[in-house]
Formats: sequence, C-alpha cells, structure tokens
Amino acid sequence: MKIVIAGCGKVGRSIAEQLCTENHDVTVIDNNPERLHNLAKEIDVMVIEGSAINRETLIEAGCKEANLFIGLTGNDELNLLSALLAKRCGVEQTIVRVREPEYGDEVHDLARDLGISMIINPEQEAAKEIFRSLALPQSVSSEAFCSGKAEIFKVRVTTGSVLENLPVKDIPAKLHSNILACIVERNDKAYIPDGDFVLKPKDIVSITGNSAEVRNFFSKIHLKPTKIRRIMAVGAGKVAHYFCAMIRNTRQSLILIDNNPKVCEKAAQEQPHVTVIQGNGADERLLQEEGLEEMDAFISLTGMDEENIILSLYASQKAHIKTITKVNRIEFDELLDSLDLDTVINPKHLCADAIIRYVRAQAGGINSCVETVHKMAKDQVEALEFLINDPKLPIDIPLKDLALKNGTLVALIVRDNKSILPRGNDCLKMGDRIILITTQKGFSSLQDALKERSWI
Amino acid sequence: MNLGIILYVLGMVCMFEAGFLLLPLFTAFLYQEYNIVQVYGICIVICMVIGLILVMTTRKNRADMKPKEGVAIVGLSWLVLSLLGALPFFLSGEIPHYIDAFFETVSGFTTTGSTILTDVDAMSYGSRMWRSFTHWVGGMGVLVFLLALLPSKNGSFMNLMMAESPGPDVSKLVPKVRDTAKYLYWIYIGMTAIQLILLLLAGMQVFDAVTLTFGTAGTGGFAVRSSGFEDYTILQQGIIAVFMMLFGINFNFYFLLIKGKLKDAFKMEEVLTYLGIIVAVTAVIVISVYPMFNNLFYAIHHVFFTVSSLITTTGYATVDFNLWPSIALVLLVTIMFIGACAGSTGGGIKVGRINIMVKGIVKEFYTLFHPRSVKKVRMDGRPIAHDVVRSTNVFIALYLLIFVGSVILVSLNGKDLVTTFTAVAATLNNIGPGLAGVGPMSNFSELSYFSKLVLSFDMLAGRLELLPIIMLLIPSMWKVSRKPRQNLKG
Repeated sequence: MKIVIAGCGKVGRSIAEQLCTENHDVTVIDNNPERLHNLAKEIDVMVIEGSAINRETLIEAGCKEANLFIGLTGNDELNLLSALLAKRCGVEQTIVRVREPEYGDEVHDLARDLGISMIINPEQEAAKEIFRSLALPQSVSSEAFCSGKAEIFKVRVTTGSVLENLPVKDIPAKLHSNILACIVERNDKAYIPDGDFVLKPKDIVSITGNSAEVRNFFSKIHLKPTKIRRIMAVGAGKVAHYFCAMIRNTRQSLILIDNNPKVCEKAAQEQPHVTVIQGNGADERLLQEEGLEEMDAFISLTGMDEENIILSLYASQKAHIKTITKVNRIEFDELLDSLDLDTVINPKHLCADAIIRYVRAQAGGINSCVETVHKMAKDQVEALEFLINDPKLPIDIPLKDLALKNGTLVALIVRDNKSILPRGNDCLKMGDRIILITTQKGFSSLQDALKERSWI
Repeated sequence: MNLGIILYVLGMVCMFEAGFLLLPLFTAFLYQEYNIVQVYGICIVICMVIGLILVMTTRKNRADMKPKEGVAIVGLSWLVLSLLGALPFFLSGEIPHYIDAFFETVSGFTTTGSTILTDVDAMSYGSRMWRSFTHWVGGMGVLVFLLALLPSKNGSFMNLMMAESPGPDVSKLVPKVRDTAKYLYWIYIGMTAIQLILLLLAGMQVFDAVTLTFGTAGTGGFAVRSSGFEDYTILQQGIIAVFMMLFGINFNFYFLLIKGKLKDAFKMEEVLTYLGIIVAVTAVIVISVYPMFNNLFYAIHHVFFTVSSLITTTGYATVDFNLWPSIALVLLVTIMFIGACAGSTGGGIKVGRINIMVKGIVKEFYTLFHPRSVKKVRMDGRPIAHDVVRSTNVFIALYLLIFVGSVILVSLNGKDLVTTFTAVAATLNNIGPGLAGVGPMSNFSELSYFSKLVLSFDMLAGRLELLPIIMLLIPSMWKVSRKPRQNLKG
C-alpha cells in the first residue's frame, strides 16, 4: 500500500518503521527538517518537509495515488483538516488521531460526516486496556479479538503449579476445564504445541476458550480473579478522564489523586462518582492515609514515567495489589519486564498497534477476509481473525479433516456472539468468525492456511 | 566498524562481477577467440569462488549498516571490482603489466576512458567488449544495481546510494530505496536501448554500436578502433553527441517526464543551466574555430560533439581539439571541471554544485549590502539546507586540494605543464583524454607506473565524489568494534 503519514513524532515514527518492514511505500510529512533528516537516515521512507494542510505538500507526498493517509501531528484539528484535504487530493482512506476529550463521542459521528475511516484516541485506548486488564487475575494478560467478544490470555507457568510437566492434551481432563493452549513461549521462542507438548516452569502459555471455562481454569491453577472494587489512581489526566467515565456504571469505586488544584476541580465537576483528592501522589503518607492497603488495585497515570514506575513498585510491595502503570516515553521494554510491575500500558504503542492492525487488515486486499492481525509472542506468531463469508471455503467439514499447514491452528470460533472452543468434530459455518494462530507469515485468506487441494 | 556486513556486500559484488564477465565471454565466443573465452572463464570462476567464500562465511554475523560502513563498502567495492576486473587483461597477456591493466579497468569502471593502449585494434573483441561494458556498469553504479536486486529491510542501504550516486543532495524518487534504484536502472536501460537502435538504424556495425553505446551511456569514452571516430558517418557521430548530452542530464528529469510532470521537469534549474552552458560554450568555440573548418555545419557539428563529450566527461573525440585556439582550449578545460548534472552518469564537480556555489557567493554579497538580511539559498524554488551549502563548499575545497596534490605527484614524471595538468584534470573529472601529451590522439601509456597509480586514485576519487575513497585512507576508519559481551546470567 502507499501510505502517507503526517507528523513524525514517536507514534508516527514507530508506525513508519513497522509499515516499512511490512513492505509498504511510506512517505512522511513533517515541518521539522532535523527530525525528518534523522528519520530518513534510519528508515527506508521518503520524507517531505512542509505542512500537512498545504495542498502542494500533500500532492508532493503522493496523496493523489496514496491508499491511506494517517494524521498524527500534535494538533487534533490539524489532523482532521489535513485528512479532509488529503481526501480531496484523492487518498482512499484516512486515519486520524484525536486526543481531546471535549469532542466526546461526537467525534465518531464527525468522522463519519467527514468521511474519515478511523479515529484513534490513544488515551481512550489506554483507558479501555486498563479497564479490561482489571478484570483479569494478577500476572495474566490478554489480547482482545472480534471486537472484544473473544480473548487470548497469557499465563506464566510457575514452579510447583499444576501445569508443571503436564502434557497439553491432558489439560482438559486433569483440570476439568475446556480450554485450548495455543501458543507456548519458552526461552524467547514461540511454539504451537501439539497434544504431547509438555509444559515446563517459566513457560508462558496462551490459552483460549469461552469465558466461563477460562475463569474455571484460572481458579483451577489457583489464580483467583479477585473482584476489584476499590481502585486508587494517581494523576487525573486524559487517561483518568476516560477511565472514570468507564467505571461510572460499575460497582467499582475510585480514589483519584492529583496535585494540581485546577485539574482536581475539573475532575470533581465532571466525575461526581469519583473521590477526588488534591495532594501529592508521590507522598507516602497521603497514600497511606487514603488507605492504599485496603485497595484492590493501584493505577499510576501521572505524566512522569519514572514516577509511575516507582509508585507502582511501592504499591505492589506495600499492599500486594494489582498495579497498572502508564508509561509513555520509556523504551526499555526488557528492563520493565524484569520489574515487578503487573501491567504496563503504553498509550503510544496502543495507538500504533491499532493503526498497524488496521493497515494489515486493509493490505490484504478486497478478496482477503482477514479482519485483524495481531502479532504475538514478540512477533513470532500471528493471530488472524477471519470472517467465513465465502461458500467456497471449507464449510461443514470437521476440523480434524482439514489439512492445515504446519504450525497453524484454529484457536477459536465465534458464532452468534458466543465463543466456541474448536474440537476435531466441529465444523465451520457461514458467518462464523475464527481465530487462526500461525507461525507462518502472510496469510491473506483461509485458503492460504490449507495445504494444497486438501478439501476438494 | 562491522566487518561482517562489509565482507558480505563485497562478496555480493564479486559474484555480480562474475555475472558481468559473462558478456565478454559470450562476445569472445561469437568471434571464435577461444583462448580469450578460456581467460574469461577462469576469471568468472575466481570471482565466484571469492564471492561465495565471503558471502558464506559472513552470512550469519552481519549487523546493521551504519553510515561509516556504507562509505567503506562503497570505497572497497570499487577497489575490489577494479582489481578483479583487471585480471582478464593481465591473464590474456593483452596488457602485460598488471598496473597498466588496473589503470585501464579503473578508467573503465569510473567511466573515465583514459587508456594506456597504443593500438586498440590489436585487442581481442572479448576484451574490447569488457572495456566498454565496464563503462556501462560503472555509469549508474554497481551498488545501485545491487540495491535494485537485493531486498533491503531498513534505511541503512540508503547510505550506499548516497555514497555512490553523484551529486550534492541525493533524493529518492519513490519511498523505497530499492524501487528508486530500479527506476534509475530502467531509465538507464531504456535510454541505452534507444541509442543502440538508432545507431543500428544509422548503419553502424553491431559490435561498434554496442560498445559505443555502452561508452556513451556510462559517459565513459573508450574508443573501440585505433582510427577513433573517423570511420563513422556524420549521422552516427551526431546520434552519439546528442546521447552523450542526454546521459549527462539528472535522471530525476527523466523520472518527472515519465510521471508526466513536464512542467516540473523543465523547471529544474540544474538542467537548464547545463543546457545553457552547452549552448553558450558551443557558440563561442564555433566562432573561434570557424576559420579552421570554413563550413558552418561541420564547425557546429564537431564543436557540439566535443563540448557534449567533455562536459559530460565522456571523452570521445571526432577531431584533434588539441589544435584549436587558446580560447577554445580554456573553455574546454573549464567545462571539464564543471562536469555533468548531479544524478547523471557523468563526472566532474557537477552543475548542481556550481549552481549552489554561485548562489552562495551572491548571497554573501547581498549580506554585505544588507548586513541584517535573512536570506536562503534556493534551488528549484525551495530553500536549501545550510548543510548542503556547506558540504558543497567543502567538496569544492577538497576537490582543489586533491587536484593540486595530484598535479605535484604527477609532475615528478617530468612531463610538460599542460600534459601534467590536464592528465590529472582528465582523470579526476573522469573525462579521458586531456591536452598535449595526453590529448585526444595520444594516450597515457608513456607515464610512469607511479603516475598511473596516482591517476587511478584520482579516477576513483572523482567517480565516488571524493569522500568514500579518502575515508579509506583514514586509520580510525578501520577500528573494529568490540563484540557485544556475552550475557553472563545466560
């Protein structure tokens, strides 16, 4: 695809890099020549200096033939307008980043009116991600599919756990829970396990199944999903704003701490269901006073990454509760992994991932029925979401008779909004969505995943 | 310095060279020169073996290419290419001394066209084809060719292209380096094909047409007959003259033409300046040499051919311009230095750089009159980064330094001033023939081996825009980086 990106900040840069390795033609527009110069030295993209609302700049960047325009400058309105201008130049699709909460939900209607294909709000994505991970037990993470109707969970096998030395095929019988282990990561290498694969401590297992069975599985391996009721959050920025709105109608209570009186004032006005505390969140005594130890979860959302990390470490050490840490800038992923932080949320990565997913799904072409593509296990595994919409596909054939390529697995079927764990005798039906896990790259349709002519 | 990636690319270059050598092998086969076939066969095997060894041993431990490695690769590739390319001349005994063979090959790849051969006709058809083919390969650049064929994952390969393509500021035509390289080669191949067809239609023999087209396309200039251009008709000479001029134009111009952006194409200042210089210099010289021809048509024809040949640094000659009046000679030496457009196959300082330099000077004067004025040097209507202006000035300063240094070294040879001066000018600017002792009807064979090495160095420096070759001489370039420490925790 030919893609034009306006703005090469952090998100723009990482998207450009990712898209470039996936062999798209990328052109980046920015008005900072120095930044562009550095970008061009490191990444194989074309760079154009200029403003994204200048028609000539847009045309020079190739908007006449481009398939996709992504507006990622620091200014929401500029992004929206430039997308509109790019569309007038002839770009087929546009993605725009809008961060201002004041637009509210109206922004999606606005996008429809303006003909914008997708609006991405990093802070809102982050809030959603926080909300979702609060529902999970400690030390479990998940990835959502089929617009949230299906999830893949990642669990680490600890020493002495029931899972230790257990062959994968024995999991359902031994634990009385009907789940499927679809990926095992061991020593930075990802495997698609067959039935005889034996789990070892330190393995990270990804599992799928319907939600009741998964909950059952967690309790069987002694990971109780603690019911999170009381939450403490430090930092009342944009992420906090969206998060507050999300828990409005739940039974969760939130104590929100911020040092800035004006911000507190505003939060108190907008979120009457939240207890707003004005004070220094990095003050040990204040945290104690507000009852950190009685909390079920702690979220650090200040503007400073270092402070967030320290606060979360403190909370996890003092109160042994689930912590969620927002990190914006810090890149040292391996170091963060080694720290005792439960969930780390990076709005910029979430934003980049969402855009990349969109592009991947589009890049497959019109004939492709890939809906989304998730890269998992450090990019070694792809999880693809397919819609079964073509009568030529292997419908009504038991899965055990389908000859899938090596390292490929049907992990989940979503039928009528319910997730079904696929077993050998299940068949695919029209209108199903399936999640396919594969170590091979570049499938654009279900046929690609089948060995040649096996189902005719 | 990461040796892995450098050796890997060098290995690839060796294998490509083996591929290039197939053409002379095939030619020799056609002309039934079986001993020459044997020599080229041996050379292909040598290149393949070296290439395979290098590629196989470094396949695993190559890291990313940083700018430093990019520059080193460019410098070394051209050196390796010339060292191996000289083998067939040497092994076949057609050029008995290896340094002569090396000089001839460097002259070929750098599209210079200076020769040490006294009798071209004595050479086998295979070797003559190889000489001319090196021009074509060297014209667009071997590494650009490599880029067009090899998949590149990140931007690091851009470093190669920047180092190999002539010009002050290399811009991509399309987002991907690889696609840009492909476009350049397709334009190159297309224009070469058109010229070949025209020459054949004009009745030239196939062998001459092919070799002269290679020489024109790369703006090289090796003659394929001892008689030079005397045997060719005016029409054939005219076609070559026009195509020399066309190959000296910035290839971005053709890209814009293909894309249908005629307006943008004809607004390129560099191309306009280049054409302007050709017209103006031709006009002045025609006036000065008119008495020698006594025929306006012949005068214009030969002068245009010579100007086109020298400004593009090709170096073909239809007449002995050595005999022309001083004003003509001085102008010819001047356009030798100016050279062709950036982003073309020609050499010299490049019209684009001259443009920027002149504009920089004008700007300096302007600030003298208006000390507080803020002014930007512009090219094609857009402001140029100060870095480009600065590096242009540095380039020209370095050019002069190398030039003076080389003249001093070559003067040890004891030739007269004009010979020494133009020998260096002709090689550093990748032209071919100079004046007096190295004029169009003489050759470089009488110079000492030391002079030939100095001039070989000048040719490489000129073709690669000085820096990659100079960098190879700097010791700190060769510090091998330490291997990353093993993680003790395992």
